[in-house]
Amino acid sequence: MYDFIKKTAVERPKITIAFFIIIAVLSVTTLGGLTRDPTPYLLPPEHESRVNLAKLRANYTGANDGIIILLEAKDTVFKGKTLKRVQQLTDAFENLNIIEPDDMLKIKELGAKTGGETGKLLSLFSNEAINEESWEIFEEILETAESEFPSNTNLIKSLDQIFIKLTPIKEVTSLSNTDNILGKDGGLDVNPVYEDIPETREGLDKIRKNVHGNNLFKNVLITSDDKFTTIVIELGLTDDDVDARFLIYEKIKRTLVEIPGSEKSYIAGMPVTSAAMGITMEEDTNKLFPIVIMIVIASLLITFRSIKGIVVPLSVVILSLIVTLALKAVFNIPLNIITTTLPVFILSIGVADGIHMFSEYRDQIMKGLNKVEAVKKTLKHLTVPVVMTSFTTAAAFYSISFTEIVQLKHFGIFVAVGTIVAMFFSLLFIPALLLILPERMIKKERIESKIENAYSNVLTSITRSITKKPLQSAIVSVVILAVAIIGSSKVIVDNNNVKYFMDDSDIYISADKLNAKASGSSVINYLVEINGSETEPFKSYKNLKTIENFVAFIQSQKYVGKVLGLSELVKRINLVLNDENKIHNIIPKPSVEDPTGRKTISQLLLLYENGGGDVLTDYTNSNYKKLNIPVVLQTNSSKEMFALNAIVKQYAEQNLPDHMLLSVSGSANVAVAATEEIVSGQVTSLIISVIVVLLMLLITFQSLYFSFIALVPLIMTIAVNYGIMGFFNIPLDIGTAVISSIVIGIGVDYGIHYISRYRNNRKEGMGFQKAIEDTAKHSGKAIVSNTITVAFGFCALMFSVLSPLIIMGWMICLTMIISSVCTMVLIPAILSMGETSTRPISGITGRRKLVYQKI
Amino acid sequence: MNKTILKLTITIISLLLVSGVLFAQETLTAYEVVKKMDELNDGDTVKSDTLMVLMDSSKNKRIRKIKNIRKDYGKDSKGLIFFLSPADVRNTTYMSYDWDNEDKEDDSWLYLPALKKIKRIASSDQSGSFMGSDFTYSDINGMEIENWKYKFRKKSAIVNGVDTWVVEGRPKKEKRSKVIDETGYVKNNLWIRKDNFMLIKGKYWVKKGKKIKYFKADGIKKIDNIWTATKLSMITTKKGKVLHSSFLKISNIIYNTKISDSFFTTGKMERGL
Repeated sequence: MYDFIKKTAVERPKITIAFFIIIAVLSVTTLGGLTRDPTPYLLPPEHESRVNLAKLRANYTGANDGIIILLEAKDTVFKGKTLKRVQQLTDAFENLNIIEPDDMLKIKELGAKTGGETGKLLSLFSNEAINEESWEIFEEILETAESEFPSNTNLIKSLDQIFIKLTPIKEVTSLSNTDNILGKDGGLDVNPVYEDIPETREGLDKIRKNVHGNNLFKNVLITSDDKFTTIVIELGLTDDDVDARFLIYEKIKRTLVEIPGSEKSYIAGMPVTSAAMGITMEEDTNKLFPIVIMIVIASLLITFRSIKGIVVPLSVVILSLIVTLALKAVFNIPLNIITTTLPVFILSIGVADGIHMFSEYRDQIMKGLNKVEAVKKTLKHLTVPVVMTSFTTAAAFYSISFTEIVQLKHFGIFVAVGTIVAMFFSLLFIPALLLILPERMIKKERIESKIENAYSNVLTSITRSITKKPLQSAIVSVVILAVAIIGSSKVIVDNNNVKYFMDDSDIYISADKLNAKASGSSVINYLVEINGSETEPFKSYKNLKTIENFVAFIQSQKYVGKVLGLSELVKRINLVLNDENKIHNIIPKPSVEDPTGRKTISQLLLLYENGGGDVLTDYTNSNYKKLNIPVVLQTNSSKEMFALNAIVKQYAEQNLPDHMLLSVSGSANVAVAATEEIVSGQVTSLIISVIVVLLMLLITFQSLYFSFIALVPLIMTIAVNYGIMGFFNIPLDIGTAVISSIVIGIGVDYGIHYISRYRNNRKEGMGFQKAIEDTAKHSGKAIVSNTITVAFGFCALMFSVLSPLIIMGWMICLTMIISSVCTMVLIPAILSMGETSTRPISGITGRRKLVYQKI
Repeated sequence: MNKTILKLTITIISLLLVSGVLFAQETLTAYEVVKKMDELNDGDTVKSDTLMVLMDSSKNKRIRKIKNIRKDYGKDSKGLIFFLSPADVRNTTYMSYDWDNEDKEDDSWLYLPALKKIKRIASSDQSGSFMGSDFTYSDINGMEIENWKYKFRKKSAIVNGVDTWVVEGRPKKEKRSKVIDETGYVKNNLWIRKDNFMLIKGKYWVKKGKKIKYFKADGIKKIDNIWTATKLSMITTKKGKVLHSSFLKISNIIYNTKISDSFFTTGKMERGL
């Protein structure tokens, strides 16, 4: 390595620089292709929970996550003005499109380019304003194009995309367009809840009574206090159509302003959460990047107080970042909520190498060496440590990628890549740059020495007191460790998409309101399947009664806002068929002529289907062998969902007959699966990173003893990290999951520096106390300044608007400090204990004398 | 010789007739074409059996057999539908009175044998599914053509070897919301045979969910001198993907037999076939 650097960077600095600049320029050109992925799912589409979700959506209607608009009236929604507004909003949402002026230009261009009948129609279309009839016209253009240019797949694809933008809404459900089946005067009345707005109080009261009479509407379309009603918008878009979701979100907000009213409105639901996440991520990247740059500049300024001291390390990390992001773009891996932080990580971690290199080089220059000699000396001293520390850091981060969680996988891989890239840049680009830049002698040596002396004194005296009474430090450490372990046991695992946002954000407030006042926004689906030869088994009383009990059980659980299902629908039909006499709010019982009850149930369902009912396919597959029980939850916390799942599964095991199989699906279940994955991923990555780091320590130190000593502060720091999380109720989530690997990756460098220095000192013939104090003075200083740079760098995350990143920011900052303190306390303590037990050392006076001589 | 003259006369007369028909056809407006389609002779009474095959997007099939009986009273009509299978819904009966006067809501009843109950169903909505199929009541009962304005999309299109007009229909401006409420459609394309004014292909734009439905009539033959389609299908699609489809096979068709008025009573529904 060293020889290679000498041949390239040292002997041909200009070519080396030119080479790196070309790489950087090429990289910059690819950055435009960098995409964002604010997916609400933490797991890849191949994961079992995602596959189940896809199946659910293919097998049942209405299983897409909806956007929920909650309207809050001052006293009651049953007022002419409010009902009118609901009607107008419903209409506007049904006709909502997300065609932008750009799309019209594109249509015009396509028209001019395509020719034929299609071209003519496109040109005509592009001259007309978009209205509620546009989709009908465009649909025909699409059909014309398909018959006229069947092989022009690009054209068809472009037109398809435009058509999706014209018709992004699948269904809107509100009080104004939902059919209500009423049983009255011995007949059935199947009509929308209301069509014309009544002008009298009586008319309004009648609507109110009818709505409250339908249990299926309760807490969904109307709350019991009459103050809230919802409009649910089901999207006809794929989950990854992020831009479209955002446009829809914006359009909905605009529509709520354009159709004004006294009701307050809240917009929630997963499509909105992910859309908002996309925007926030973009804002975050734009904001965090300059902040971390400023922090890095500030710490470089403090450390070196020279332009060159800033320019050299900074240029290296920025170039490393560009190259890393370019790799991301080339491999078409989008930025997600966690990889948005890449700039912060790569800049904070990468700059450490630069600082070491530049500081060593400056020391050499100050010793009077010329540029070339100083660079050579620097490389000789630092190549191995830089390579070692970079690889340990990269390995620890790479271990994070051993998980199914997409966000963490990409994060682990790309921080590792970035670290290695930064290493190459530091080792090749810095020497080359230093050789090219002019060198002036720095004359601040005296002042610096004073400050540094004071600083070294503190470090050495602390170390001295530790080594004097190593047992005390050990006891204190053991106590702290014990407390930390108690805290660790309290750590909860949770993921809450909504809590990614600050508590004063629209998303948070809306979801909170919906959870508190209505049935909530996240949906988990329990699927019950009957195996066996029985045809249409869920039409029998016995089986449906089992489902009814199951539904009632689920409904009684905490955070359950609303449970729907075939049993509830059958009950409703039976009720209206019996003139809404409450005693008939049951599944009709079997009779002598109909011993299984299936005739009655089949006929009720036929009545429903024939009356225009269209939600049957939401709850059952066509052969009535598998039912979907959607459960709307008043929480967005995966921990609570997990708890519910456990209770429901237990109930199923004890109460459902053997031939009924329960499975779980829905987007909420993906979140639950992700939570489990975070835990197992955390364990895997910890084990892997400890093993890898231990191996690297063994290679570096060639000593089991020293390798283990280097591990001790890491384990302590991780324990304290979890302890803090446990005591302060900070959940283990995708943000905090990376912290322990960061501790290992960066913290191990401190141990390597410290122990290497100590062993070198001993090899050079120093006694224990002199060796350890010299280590404290030199390595300690490096560790402290590295900690400050890295910790400050991560502080940039605290300026994020996403709460997991903020928590991640200060947690990393804190753990880096803990890690360096642990290194500088525990290592000398252990070494000292090892020393007393194995090798007797000279008297205290002797050691003191040495120290004084040194100072 | 006489025979030749006779043949010639017949030929000339038929030629004249055909050209007359052709001439008349060429001058028809789109509205007149649809009007003729609407007024096609479908018998004063009809009895038939229908096999319904309903298929979801994963090609799961549900099969229902029903018996239809209809009797016209001028422009009004009364109908009965008996369910024959599946066994669970056997003898479930649906009766409807369709009034020509569009201000008068159609009447319908359903008899559920398991509950021994007859229920009158009130609904102005004709856009709901007919017996769980892709056909709506308005598809079955026919649309109120006066609420639509029609124009030719194509004066000639060959479908299955026969020449058709392609007519585009849109609700009249002032009737738009009424039409949408009642039929669910915002637009249609109708392929109408030139020789017998039968609708053999249709495309319907559904407002709710912005879906497209495709209709097809097959197995067309003359029964009791009345042009009859014995195979009907309706396929609901969204963005080119089939969501659900329904196939109707009609058999045992008997036109113009005498059906007593007492058939169309709730008592008959209870007694069954």
